[in-house]
Amino acid sequence: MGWQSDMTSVLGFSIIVSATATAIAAAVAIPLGIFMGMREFKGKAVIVNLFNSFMGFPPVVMGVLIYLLLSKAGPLGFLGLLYTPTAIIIAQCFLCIPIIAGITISSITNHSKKIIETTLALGGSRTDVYENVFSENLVPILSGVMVGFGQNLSEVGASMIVGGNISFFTQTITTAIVTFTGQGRAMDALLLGTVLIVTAFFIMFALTILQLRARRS
Amino acid sequence: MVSTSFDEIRVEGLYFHYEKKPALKEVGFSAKKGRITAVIGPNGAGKTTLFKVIDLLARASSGRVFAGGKDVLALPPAEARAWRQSISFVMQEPYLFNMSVRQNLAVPLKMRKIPRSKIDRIVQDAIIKFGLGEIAEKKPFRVSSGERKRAGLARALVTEPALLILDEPTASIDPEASYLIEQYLKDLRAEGRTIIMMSTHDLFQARRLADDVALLFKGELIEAGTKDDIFDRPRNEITRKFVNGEILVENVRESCEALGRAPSTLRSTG
Ligand SMILES: Nc1ncnc2c1ncn2[C@@H]1O[C@H](COP(=O)(O)OP(=O)(O)O)[C@@H](O)[C@H]1O
Ligand SMILES: [Mg+2]
Repeated sequence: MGWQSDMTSVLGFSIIVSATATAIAAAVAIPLGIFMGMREFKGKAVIVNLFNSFMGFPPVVMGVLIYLLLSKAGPLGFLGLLYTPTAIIIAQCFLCIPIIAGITISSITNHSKKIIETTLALGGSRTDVYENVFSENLVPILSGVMVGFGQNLSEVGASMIVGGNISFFTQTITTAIVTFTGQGRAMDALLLGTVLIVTAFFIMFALTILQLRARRS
Repeated sequence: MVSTSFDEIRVEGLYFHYEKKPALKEVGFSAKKGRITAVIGPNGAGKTTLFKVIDLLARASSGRVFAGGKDVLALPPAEARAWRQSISFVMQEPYLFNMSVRQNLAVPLKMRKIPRSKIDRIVQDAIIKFGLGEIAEKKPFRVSSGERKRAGLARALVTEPALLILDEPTASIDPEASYLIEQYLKDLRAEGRTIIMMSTHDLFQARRLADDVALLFKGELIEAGTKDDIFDRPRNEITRKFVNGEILVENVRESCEALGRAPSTLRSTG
């Protein structure tokens, strides 16, 4: 028992929380990105730039914003979500949406005109058009999702602030690393760090394979 | 409802604008079943735009396109799809979806909800007919541009369209691939069931293939008639200049002037 079960539960918790946040973000960001990417409208460039700058939004600041929202005095304080896994999911979700939406929009803006015209010319319906635009851009969209997941897994600021780093309740890999280091358990911190790096490595590896397979023309 | 079979398509008084800039002005001509109608004209004449308007991929400012006794430009949106399903438009650079060539050929059939077993048979026949056997299982990025055009043509024909529109079907591919495509078009004409409309800026190709010719120039339909009318007995001065190559010379001179050079410098730098 001891540190071993600590570690596995922390790792499992982190993955579940980050994956849930990424999935919710994807469910919002992908349709949004497809919808906006397929259309030409005034101010599109501004919105794309906005998403791009939000991609690098500091997790710590997001943590503070969500904290203000969820704290007792905040507008959503009555929900009592602060220092719960849900709070972390909310914060990571907002961090992730601009990443997924931004990557989806730029991919689709560049690769949708021909897909739309070809689908219609071949006799397709509106539904066929959306389906084809989605499936032909699947790789960049999935890349966006994986980049988002990687960011969620490795951010520390937001989950620390809104999760509170409570052992066996809201402690993630990254916040545990902070705690262990503070407690002088440097080796445990390093071990968790290694787990994080290996996980990140696998994500990047999968991404590379996806992109290689997607080589177009 | 649009009739799915018709013997003639007639374009009348067609106008189209990109923003404010006119790309088609008062364009009218017709194309008939069992004949190849070549729309010729230099780059930027409006050929691609004309085809997009006919396929309802671009909305005309005004004008009519008659087929089977109906103006297809006036169809309610719900019937636009039926019109597109009765014709086929092969773009200059056909886009193949990121799946095998075989699966690409099945796409228009699946969209028409044709039973799986029938799709497999039609696709297999097309693969043989268009000599796509070697590339049938390949993804688009492993296919040459000539093969892509051939696959695009095959995909357009699996649905047996009443009207086949081809935008520069042999531009930017090698002579052998061009020859093959020309042969398929001649075979299709011989079958006599399809209106074939193609654009080309290659006058030799128009002479080889076309029965009828329409000359577009700066968005205007200058003259339309049989191949012999246009090439041997042009009535319009622009037609005469275009078919004997003088207009191309003028265009080169204009481009050179735009670049601030005399044509001779262009030649010497080669
Ligand atoms: N998407 C577009 N936006 C604005 N102008 C365009 C667009 N596409 C084509 N044009 C212009 O319309 C004219 C006709 O183009 P096009 O139909 O492509 O000619 P062609 O196929 O004969 O070369 C050209 O002057 C071209 O610059
Ligand atoms: Mg063109």
